[in-house]
Amino acid sequence: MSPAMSSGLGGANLRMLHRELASAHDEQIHRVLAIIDDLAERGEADRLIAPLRRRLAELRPRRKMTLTRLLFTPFNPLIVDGGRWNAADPSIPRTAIRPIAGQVRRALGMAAQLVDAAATQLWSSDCLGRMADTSEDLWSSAAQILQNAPMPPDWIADTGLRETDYRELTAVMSALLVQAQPLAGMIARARHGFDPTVDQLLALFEGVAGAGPKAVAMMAAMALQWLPRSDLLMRAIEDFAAQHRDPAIRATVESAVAFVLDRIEESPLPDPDLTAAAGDVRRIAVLLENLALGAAQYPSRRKRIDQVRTTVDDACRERFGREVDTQLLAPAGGIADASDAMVAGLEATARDLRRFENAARKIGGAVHYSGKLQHAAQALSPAANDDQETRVSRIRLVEILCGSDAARAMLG
Amino acid sequence: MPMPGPKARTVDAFVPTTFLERGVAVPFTTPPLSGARVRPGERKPLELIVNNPAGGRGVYIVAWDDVGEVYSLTLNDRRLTEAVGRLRGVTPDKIRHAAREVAGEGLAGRGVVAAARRAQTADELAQIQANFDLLLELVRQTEHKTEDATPPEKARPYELEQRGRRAVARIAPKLGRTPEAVAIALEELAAAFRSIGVRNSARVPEEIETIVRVRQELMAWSESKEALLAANAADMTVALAKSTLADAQALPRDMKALLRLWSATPGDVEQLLARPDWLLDGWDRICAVWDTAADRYEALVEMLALIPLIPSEADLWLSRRFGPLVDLPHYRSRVVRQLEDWRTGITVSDLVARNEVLLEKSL
Repeated sequence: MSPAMSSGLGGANLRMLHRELASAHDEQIHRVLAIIDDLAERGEADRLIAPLRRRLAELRPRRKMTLTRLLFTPFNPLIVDGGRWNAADPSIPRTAIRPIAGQVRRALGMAAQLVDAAATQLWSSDCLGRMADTSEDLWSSAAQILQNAPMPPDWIADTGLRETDYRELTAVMSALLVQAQPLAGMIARARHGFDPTVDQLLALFEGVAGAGPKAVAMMAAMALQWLPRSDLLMRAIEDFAAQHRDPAIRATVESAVAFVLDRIEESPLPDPDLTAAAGDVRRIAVLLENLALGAAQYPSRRKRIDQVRTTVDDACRERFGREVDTQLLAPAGGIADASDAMVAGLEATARDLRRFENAARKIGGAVHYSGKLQHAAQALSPAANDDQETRVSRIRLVEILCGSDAARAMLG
Repeated sequence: MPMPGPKARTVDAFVPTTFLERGVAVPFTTPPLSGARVRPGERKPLELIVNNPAGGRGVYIVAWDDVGEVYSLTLNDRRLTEAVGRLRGVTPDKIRHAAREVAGEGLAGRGVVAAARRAQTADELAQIQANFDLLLELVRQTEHKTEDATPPEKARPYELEQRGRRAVARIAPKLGRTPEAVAIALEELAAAFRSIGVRNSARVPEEIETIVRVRQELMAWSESKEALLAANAADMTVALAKSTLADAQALPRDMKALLRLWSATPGDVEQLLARPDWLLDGWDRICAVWDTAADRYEALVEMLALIPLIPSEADLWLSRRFGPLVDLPHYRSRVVRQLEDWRTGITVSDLVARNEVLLEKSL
């Protein structure tokens, strides 16, 4: 495969490279991404990897941060593929990222290079809270730049969007970027167990209220997906709606909730990694629980939550069963000859499964998960010809999966 | 977080005056028992002291025989409670050895098995080193200056053995003992000195160095009120431990008096040598929390909950009053760690795994 990114990459050449990339190994894909990340001009390179988006989502490569990624990270929960974007939704089309980031870069001038240099200290896998210090100036500068930036000449050709879309998107993004720093601060503190107050959350909404209902809906959708305590958030939104006495606010909030629920339903567990999937299940379970608590007066929302819950429940059960079989029981077949590192890996998998089921049973299927765990424990129980070390390793796995009482029975 | 049931009694203000009353830290892996201590009870042989999970000065006291009923113990801890229950008297050294022995079964993981082996080997080497160093002291203190020009530490092994035999034979009649009895006493003293060392470093001096390092790292990271509190507690513990360590390490400077004292009241010598261990008891886990922390703020919160009170008995161990002791439990209620909750994504298995890592680092 040739990763050369010379100018004039188009037509037959581009199609040939797409074919080569389509059959590339994961490691080759990672190398191409690293080369692209180091390019000063990425336009054609981005076209090269565009057909790989789905595979990149599966690989979830840890990528160096750049000005563009730092700028758009707060908006990650809102970004949708260009072809599926609807102007009425609280979302941002992926095709808008490059032209808007280009505008910010040009307006920043030399300062953009400093942002790029600082961004290399961060990774795409870092949470928004960790990016806050590096990004504070960028977000506030970009908020000002986007207030008045004229539409790029190639906007329509590059994005397939209208001029009005540009004006709406930049106006809303400008307002949201002003609140990016407080939001990131809340996320960072939430990681330490300090929840934001309702007043702090309310301030996020007041901060974007001037930009219109869509900005409020986008802030709600962002905060719902970034912050762990959606119950507090919903209370803040209720307070916001009550203070503004505007029936349109209610519809705005519902559109944000609907957008978040649609995204969950569309792809409940997108991450192929079990550890990350367990985190996703927990986040979704908390979100659904909190949304349901505040949905008593909103029958349609409640019905929608139930629909999504059913979809997520099905996905969780299917995923859990598959992970138990493929990630635990199959490799545990070789436990008698396993190295210490391999046994530690099996134990880590068992803990991931416990974390997964611990959250998933809040969505549904408690009996299902108990049954699966007991089945796994039975399959892992010591064999007559096991040596002492293997026997203990099996018992430890059972203890992790089903607790010490179940394991004790096997201890003898 | 499970709360103990009717088999536990609560003590609202736990301010122990002696180290035995404070109890000995038991390296449990069962999450609610993090920082729990064992001590002789008033009626039953042993009892467990568990910090109030809500913070503050309060503790729960559970009869040792009931621990398995009150708490859902890990398999490793079931074995550990059985092993501790069989002990005659509790000291930090006895609990440490019981924990290592149980850890060797593998129920806390293979990493812990390897750590227990390493710790046991290090202990054996330290005892050999202490025996060698005590013999060197004896030779140095009993030989006439003209007897051998070569300092004993530079003598060849065979020559040192001969000089050692002569030194033992020379001092035995002065103590009214046979040379064989003196040789045995030296071996016994070596076991008693293995943790603190005679002329070479050993576990206790190394633990003090670890606390000093962690304290420096903590203050370099934060000068918050909580960090200062932990640093002050570390300073006080280090100062007291160094003082008692110096007292203990001074004993071999007069081998004749040491051997005489050992012959007459070995228990008194053992108690003197064990003082640094009592003072440092529990700090190995505290330092391990810091050293293994993924999140330093959370680590600090947990460290504050684990820092033991220094009983007033420590004053008697020193030649002077050390000053007001830090009232740590007063602060605990402000920094209660958020334990297992499905909303945090932390499960019992995760907490047990983390405690196994702490055990691995503190055996």
